[in-house]
Amino acid sequence: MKEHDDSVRKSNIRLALILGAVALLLAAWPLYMLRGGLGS
Amino acid sequence: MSTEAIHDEHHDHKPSGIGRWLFSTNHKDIGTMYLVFALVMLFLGGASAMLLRAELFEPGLQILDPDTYNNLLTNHALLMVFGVVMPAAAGMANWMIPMMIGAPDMALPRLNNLSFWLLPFAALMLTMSMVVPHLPGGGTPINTGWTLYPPLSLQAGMGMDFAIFTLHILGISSIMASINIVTTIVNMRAPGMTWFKLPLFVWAWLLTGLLLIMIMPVLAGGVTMLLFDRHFGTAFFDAAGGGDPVLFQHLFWFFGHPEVYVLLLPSIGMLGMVVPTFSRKPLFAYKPLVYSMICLTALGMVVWAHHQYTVGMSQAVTTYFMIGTILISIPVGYMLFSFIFTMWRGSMTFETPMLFAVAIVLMFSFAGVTGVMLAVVPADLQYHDTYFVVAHFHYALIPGALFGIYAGVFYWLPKWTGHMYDERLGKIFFWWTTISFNLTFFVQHFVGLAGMPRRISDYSPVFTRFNEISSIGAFAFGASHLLFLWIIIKTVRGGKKAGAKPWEGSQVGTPGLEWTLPSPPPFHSFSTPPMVK
Repeated sequence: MKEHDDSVRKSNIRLALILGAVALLLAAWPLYMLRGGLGS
Repeated sequence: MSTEAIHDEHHDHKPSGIGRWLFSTNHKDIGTMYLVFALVMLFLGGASAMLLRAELFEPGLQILDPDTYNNLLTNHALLMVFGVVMPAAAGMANWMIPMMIGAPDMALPRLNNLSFWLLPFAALMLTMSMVVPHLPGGGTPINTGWTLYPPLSLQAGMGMDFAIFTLHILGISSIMASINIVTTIVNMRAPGMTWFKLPLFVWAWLLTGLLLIMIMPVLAGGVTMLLFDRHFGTAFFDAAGGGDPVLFQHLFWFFGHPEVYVLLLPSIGMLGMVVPTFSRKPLFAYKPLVYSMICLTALGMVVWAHHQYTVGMSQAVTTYFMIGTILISIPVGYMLFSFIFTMWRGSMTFETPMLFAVAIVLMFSFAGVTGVMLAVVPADLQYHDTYFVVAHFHYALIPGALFGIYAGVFYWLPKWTGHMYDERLGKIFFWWTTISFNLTFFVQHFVGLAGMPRRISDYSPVFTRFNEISSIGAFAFGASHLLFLWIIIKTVRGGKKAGAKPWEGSQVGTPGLEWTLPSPPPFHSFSTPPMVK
């Protein structure tokens, strides 16, 4: 059971980090869009 | 669906005192805190709406000067969207999702605690944004509305900085909560709880969480650039420095339009629980309903500029956004028909949650019709910035989001508290809110079509009578919430005991595992994962 808990916890953290990285990239996207001249 | 629900009631010890709430990692306690927070904000946001309607009771300026009016208007919107609907839906997600999928708690309980405790700080900052303009050197109040468009937002005083920081904090809180919810649903489902056995509410929140992770950072990026324009000499959105104010509108609505679906989807999920229960029939076409929710989420991401038809985009661009927006009526219509077909020939009873569900189907459809009118470019050029738009989005968001939350509260209150609410009072609350809501907003369609502009504290005397009706409706709508508060207090304090399955039809279709737990559920549930067969 403990092994199972550890693997679930690791998997939870891995998925949360991936989703967090996606969020960070998207936060920088407006600036990137501006750099490329889109919309201006 | 049968289950072997196992929960360890022998270890049901709770921490006590203030520490239980401050340091809580328990999904039920955090859910309760979210719901209480949303209720407090509902009264604050409602009070600001009452002041706005009092000012609009007759033409001329009565109780608010134009700047204060616009500041209150901005705060009303920010409070209702970020302080009421989102925290209330997050509170329900916290309470229900782990119990529905058979998880012991949320995937990341400490992050859950942090997500909630950022909210009171955000509320404090938002309050400060209203206070600082009245201090020496505070500058002009925020008079932009919730959209914070430049150049007005570049010219506003210090209150705008507080509003920007509020959005940062709220954004961080929402993103963390969404990451937590998505991770919980993906990783923590009980053995046998496959994707298409998930209750619709869980599906709705999975999509809401993913949407929030995609849109909130873009808003955060946009308002950070606004902050830089205000204080650090950049000119991203300042035309005088070569920037483009319209770019901010694109960034805002890239967030703002999907945000509408963030507010709506949890309510659609709640309808998916309430309608089968009180129709005593499984949800009609469950899988296609899930697909249509996915379709709505995807389409909702790519139609944002229908809020900006008047800014001078090319015909090709406006045509794309018009067609995309009208296409949204297909998945939405599919969902509404699914709910109607679930009711069809069902053994229906009309307890308070079901009354709200039926009202949502009817009134949200009405918002859909005015939505299609607004999606059509040449028509929208006439309706833009009038009370017709105000009437449209209040018909979308009050039935579509707020009534969904009320349906959820009445549906799950017996599970949360262990007591049945007073059904007679619940029905009085339903009729009171529904009638007064329609009284408030129905007439606004007509003043809008006649040309009354929104976001202005004064108006032509020709609109007086309809504005009086609207204000009387708004006061009645506001007052009805005192009854809502009383019903909740009464139910928490006592009442008829609720069983594990307080509703006769709660096991119909694709229910969650929450009904296998007693009411109220133990502090720690599903310490050992149940088997879903």
